[in-house]
Amino acid sequence: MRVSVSNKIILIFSSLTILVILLGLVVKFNIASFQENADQIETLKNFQIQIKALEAFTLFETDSTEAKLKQLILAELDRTDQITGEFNTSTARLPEKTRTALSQVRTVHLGYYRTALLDFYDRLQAEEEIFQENTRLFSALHNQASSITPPLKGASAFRLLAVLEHGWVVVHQERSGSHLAAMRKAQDELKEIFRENDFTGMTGQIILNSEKCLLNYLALKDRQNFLQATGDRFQEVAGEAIASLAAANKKQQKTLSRQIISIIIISLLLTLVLWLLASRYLHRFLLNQRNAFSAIQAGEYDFQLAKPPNDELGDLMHFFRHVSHNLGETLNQLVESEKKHRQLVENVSDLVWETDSRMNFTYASPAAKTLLGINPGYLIGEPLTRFFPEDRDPSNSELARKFLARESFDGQQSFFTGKDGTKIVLETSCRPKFDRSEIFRGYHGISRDITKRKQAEVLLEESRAFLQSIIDGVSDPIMVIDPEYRIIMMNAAAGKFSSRATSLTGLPCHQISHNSPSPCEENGIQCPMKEVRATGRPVTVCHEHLSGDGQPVVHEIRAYPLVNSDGTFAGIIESLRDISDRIGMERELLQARNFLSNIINSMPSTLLGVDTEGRVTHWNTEAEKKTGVACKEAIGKPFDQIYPFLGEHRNELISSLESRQTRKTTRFIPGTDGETQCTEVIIYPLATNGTEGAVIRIDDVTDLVRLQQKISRSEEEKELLQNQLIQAQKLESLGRLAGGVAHDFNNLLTGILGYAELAMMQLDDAHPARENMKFIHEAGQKAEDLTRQLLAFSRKQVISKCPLNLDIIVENLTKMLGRMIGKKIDIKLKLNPQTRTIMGDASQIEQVLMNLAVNARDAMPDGGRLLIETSEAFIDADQADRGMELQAGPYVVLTVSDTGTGIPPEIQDKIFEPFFTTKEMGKGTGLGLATVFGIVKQHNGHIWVHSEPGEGTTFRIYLPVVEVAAESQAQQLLTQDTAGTETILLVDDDSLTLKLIENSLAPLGYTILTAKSGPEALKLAANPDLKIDLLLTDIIMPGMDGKTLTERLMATRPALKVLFISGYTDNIINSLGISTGRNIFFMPKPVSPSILAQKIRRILNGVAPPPTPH
Amino acid sequence: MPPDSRDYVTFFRDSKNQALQQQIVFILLSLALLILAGCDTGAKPVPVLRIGHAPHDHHSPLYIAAMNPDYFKENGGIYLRETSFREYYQLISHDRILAEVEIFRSNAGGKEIIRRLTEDQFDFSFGGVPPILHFIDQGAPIRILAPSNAEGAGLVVANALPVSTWSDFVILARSRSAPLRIGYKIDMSVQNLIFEQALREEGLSFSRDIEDSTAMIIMVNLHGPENMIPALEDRLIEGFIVNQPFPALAEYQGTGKQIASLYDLPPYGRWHGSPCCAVAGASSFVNSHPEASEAMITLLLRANRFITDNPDQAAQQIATWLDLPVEVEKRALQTIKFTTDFDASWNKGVLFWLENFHQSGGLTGKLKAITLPDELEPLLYDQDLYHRARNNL
Repeated sequence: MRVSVSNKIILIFSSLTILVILLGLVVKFNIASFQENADQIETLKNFQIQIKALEAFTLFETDSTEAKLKQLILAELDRTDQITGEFNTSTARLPEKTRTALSQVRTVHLGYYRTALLDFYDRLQAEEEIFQENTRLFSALHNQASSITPPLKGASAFRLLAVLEHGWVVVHQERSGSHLAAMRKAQDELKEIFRENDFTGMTGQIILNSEKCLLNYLALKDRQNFLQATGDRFQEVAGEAIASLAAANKKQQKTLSRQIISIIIISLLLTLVLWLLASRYLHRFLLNQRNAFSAIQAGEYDFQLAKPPNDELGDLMHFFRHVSHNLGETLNQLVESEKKHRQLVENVSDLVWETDSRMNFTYASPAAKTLLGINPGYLIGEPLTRFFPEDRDPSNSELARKFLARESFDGQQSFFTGKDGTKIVLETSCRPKFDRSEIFRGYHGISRDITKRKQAEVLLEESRAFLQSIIDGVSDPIMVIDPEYRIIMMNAAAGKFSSRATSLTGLPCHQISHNSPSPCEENGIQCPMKEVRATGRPVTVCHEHLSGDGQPVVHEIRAYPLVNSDGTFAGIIESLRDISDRIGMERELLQARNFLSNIINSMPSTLLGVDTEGRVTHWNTEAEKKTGVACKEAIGKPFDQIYPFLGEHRNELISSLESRQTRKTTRFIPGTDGETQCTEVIIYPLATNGTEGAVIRIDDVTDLVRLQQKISRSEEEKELLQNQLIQAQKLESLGRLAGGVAHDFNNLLTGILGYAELAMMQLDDAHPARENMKFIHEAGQKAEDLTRQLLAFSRKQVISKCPLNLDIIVENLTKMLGRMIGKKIDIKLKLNPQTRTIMGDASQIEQVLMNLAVNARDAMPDGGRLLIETSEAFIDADQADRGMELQAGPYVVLTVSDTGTGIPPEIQDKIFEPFFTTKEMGKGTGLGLATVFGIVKQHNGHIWVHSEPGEGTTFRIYLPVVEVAAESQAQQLLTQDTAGTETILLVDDDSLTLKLIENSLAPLGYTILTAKSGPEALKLAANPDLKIDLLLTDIIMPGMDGKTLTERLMATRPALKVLFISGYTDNIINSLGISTGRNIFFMPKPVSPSILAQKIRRILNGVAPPPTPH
Repeated sequence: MPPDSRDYVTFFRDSKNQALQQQIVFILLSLALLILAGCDTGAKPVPVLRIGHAPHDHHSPLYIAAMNPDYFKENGGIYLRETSFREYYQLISHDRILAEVEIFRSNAGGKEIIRRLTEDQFDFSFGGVPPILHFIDQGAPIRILAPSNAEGAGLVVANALPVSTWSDFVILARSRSAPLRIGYKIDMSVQNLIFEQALREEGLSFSRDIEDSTAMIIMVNLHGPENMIPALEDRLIEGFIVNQPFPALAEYQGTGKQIASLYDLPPYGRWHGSPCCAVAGASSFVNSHPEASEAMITLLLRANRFITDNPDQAAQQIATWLDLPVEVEKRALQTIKFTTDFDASWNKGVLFWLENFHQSGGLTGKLKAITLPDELEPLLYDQDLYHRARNNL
């Protein structure tokens, strides 16, 4: 965390300020507390003084008379009242505990004290009364004794009265009962003397009063003790309270001292810590500074900092270090630079020199020795002009002028004559030096020996003139162009490009050829410059130029690379030739070739031209398509290499070329799709304009050939299909007949079975008619089975298909088959473990197996072997077309073979007809194989039979494969709870069925509304208050069918659930366009009341009912 | 003049200065620690336990506990170390001072001594069970901590009175024309309650008016037991009822004769084992000083046992404490049943006192509506403290 220096200073001063404030608050609080305690102690002392004034023992001073005591008591009572009154206000400021204790003093002790005072007062009063009474009695007794005669008797009386009086005085004054016995004795003697009741009564009263006085004294003494104890208690409580407050004060003083000391210590510690931190902080800063200076002084610019703080001073340290680092780097760079430049100056072959303001040399590089033959040291202090005498050459005069003018100049030529008289040409560049005040301080410059260069330039100029004369002799225009497109040399022929009289040298080539300010490439015109530069080889291009008279001319330009001696590219040399006429002819030829090429390429045939060597010369688009080889790649290559298919035709080609005859061949070859292709190859020899070769044409004529074959084959198949059609029509008509009969039968059987079931439910077990009804029911069930077989044959039964594995069905059924066909027949299974899934009704497949097994059993009366196999077969389109009535595709094949008597060939085409049987009368219905046939067809399959008399029979059933996993055959259990209270609208034109269903459902608690037609049902349902939970309706009814009725009702009752019943199969639903779904269900007739009830219950419960058993 | 930067560096890098800095820091820190240590509070102060008693035999366990430090130190480790005889002691448990004990004498006894307990003049106090019940009923924050004794009181009459048994007394009272004067020490004492109940049982009328000639018995308040014997000598009264040692002392002095133990009075058998005195304590002290409370109660219970187990030695020591002849104490102790248990007789007796208060309208506070022993027990006793102490025996 970064804390700035200002914040740190604020923190330090804030901490100290807080401590000072804290200290002040503590002192202030404690002073206030002390003041409060002092007030409380003052209050208590006042209270103590007041209580002390109450001290009860002052009442019992020895010299106090009773009257004085009473007066004191009354004063005490006043004081207690006064103190009690002051308690409430004076104790408010005291601590709770003290206040409670004092409150108890007020409420309890002062109360007791007051009561005791009053009691004391009463007893003093009583004592006074006793005293008065006894005084009065003694006076009366004395009076009576004075009147007693004789005097002796009176004297005795007085003596005895004196005893009594003395006893009384002892009781009253000494508070002692020691004379009570003497008093009683004196009383007894007085009784003897006076025998007067009054006298005796008075003496008795005196003694009683004495006893009362004594007891009163005991009570007074008790009160006195109590008052003393209470007074002591007052002092004690007040003393405790004062002591408590004093202790609290002392404790608080101690606490205050501790707090002040603690705060002082904390302040000291904090100051110390802050001082240490600040000291350490500054120490670190100064140390870093010192280290930095020392390091810089020692040339160590990358010195390390000792933990710089994270604040401004830290930043300063970092900045300082950064500056130092940069300074170091700069110095290093400077040194390096100086070193490098010195090396450069001293190693350079040119003379580097420097003068002062008087133009005397102050520095001359070692090159002075090699250039001028003068030691550099000799030059120092020598005037510059000495080496460039003006009289030697005008250029020296110019140099001298520039020096005088203090000018800066480059490449000024001058001459210097060496000691040996050699003339040296120097090229000098120099700059004047000025200080900050713009005062001239001399020159520094560099002088180069260019003597040899000057000599080479002369030679070069001569060579150039010679070369120009040569190229001017060439008739074709020649131009030398540098990389910047400037013409650097040209011959006289090239001058014709321009009508200008001046030389074209130095002008851009594009300006001359195309009158364009930019290079040709930028205008979309091919320029050889780039290609030549890239390849380093000569390049030929054609350009349309403008001639000197402005007419376009096509030039063939041959461009050669021009390279320097070091191999660098220096430009191109262009040689131009006018080819305008040749270009015109080539264009016409190209158009003709394109026309022919388009014709060849647009032909559907594969066309290729070959030369006499068999190399491809033409290759049309179709050939590219057929072979996948582009024309460019094919041209020039042997045709059989490019198109191996034609390898067999090389001899024909040779033959054709030799004989100049056309050759035609037809070939059958397998195609990529497995089909056989028919190809026709025709070779046309060519011999035109000296071009030898041939044209090969290849055509696919497969379709043409197939068409021809098909025309010839259709006649044979026509007969076979016609036979199959007749057979199918026959079976179809039989099926339709059987289906129609079965429908009517089902209607009848619904009534028969239903009523038989109802009747049995109503009859007791012992009823004689029950047995008959049972026979009727069983016969009805047999008739139902028969009907079901008819429906199966006619393919009108409702089947519930699901993915099945035939192996599982066969394995599960084997045991039952074993029991059914007996032990004499050995059942063998040969199952294919890879058998795939079919879509079928498991019970129907089982029916097929059972029927075939029963037939096999009947064909093997003496035993034999029954083999059941599963396998897979693929029916191709050809097989499918040949009368198997199947779609091409994979099939699971179920094969049932026996070793029985076989089927005679003459009846093999009738075995699937219903009611056709070879069995004895009553042993077979003739529906077994018909049922099998119907089931197989309903599964979109095919049954095939092969039988040889005496060898056995094989039935092979093809069932289509589906690509889904097989399901288990577990069926949902039907619920047994069939009762309900819902309302069912029942519609059927058949009164028997209507009545039966009503009678079977009504006892279960349902409300059944019946209607014999659709309109009647609609009329019933028109009542909107009528709640209908289920519509149970026949489908085929006169007037309005079940579907229409359902649609009309669901228009107003969309949530209505519907159960269709019909003697027809569910095909009728499909044919009417009814789709079963969430709320629409189907059940075939005949209807069993119990199963119907279960199904209805499940529908109403919202549970999808299982497929209805048939 | 600003010092050269090198001076700073030299100063800070000077090892001597660094050592000086360290020394300053060390001294200041040590000083701070010393001052802070000095500010620490001292050890927890030893509490002062103030115990009230009346100078008679029923409160003897306190005297025995105070006079046998060596015995109790060896037997249980809890004892009282004497600072000032009959006044100041230290309660020590296993060589550790648990409390400074101050013993207060209250001559009046009876209701007065318990009143002083409720007024925070004592922390513990011996006293009669009926007064303790009275103040608990009135809401005083006190409870019975331990039993002290049962019985130990008698009816003494003048030697001249021609009676020697309770039956003789009853016959005399009925036959006399003048009422018999019987003194008692203070209002609301166990002795008063028993005697007045017995008079009711016998059908003897009584009054507290000395001039009432119609009553058979005149009950005379003599405001303290010390007034009994002089009053009998002066024939101010003809008999008195009081706890020991005064009956024994009257007989020893020949002033009177004890004709019956109060606990043999009718209804007969009702008073046997009936509680007389107990140790009561202020709840505030018990709650704030549980350890000292437990030790003191343990010691008093052990003292109870000591009296029973060592009657002669106990009589000698009690006589010394009360400044009485040892013969008096020997005689007196025979009539007192010191106990350490709140047994069935004790509980029955307590219920009797409460019933008696009920009938006389004496209960007006928190005990008035409570009759079930289970509800009474936590109000009357500090059973937790008692059981802890009892288990220490």
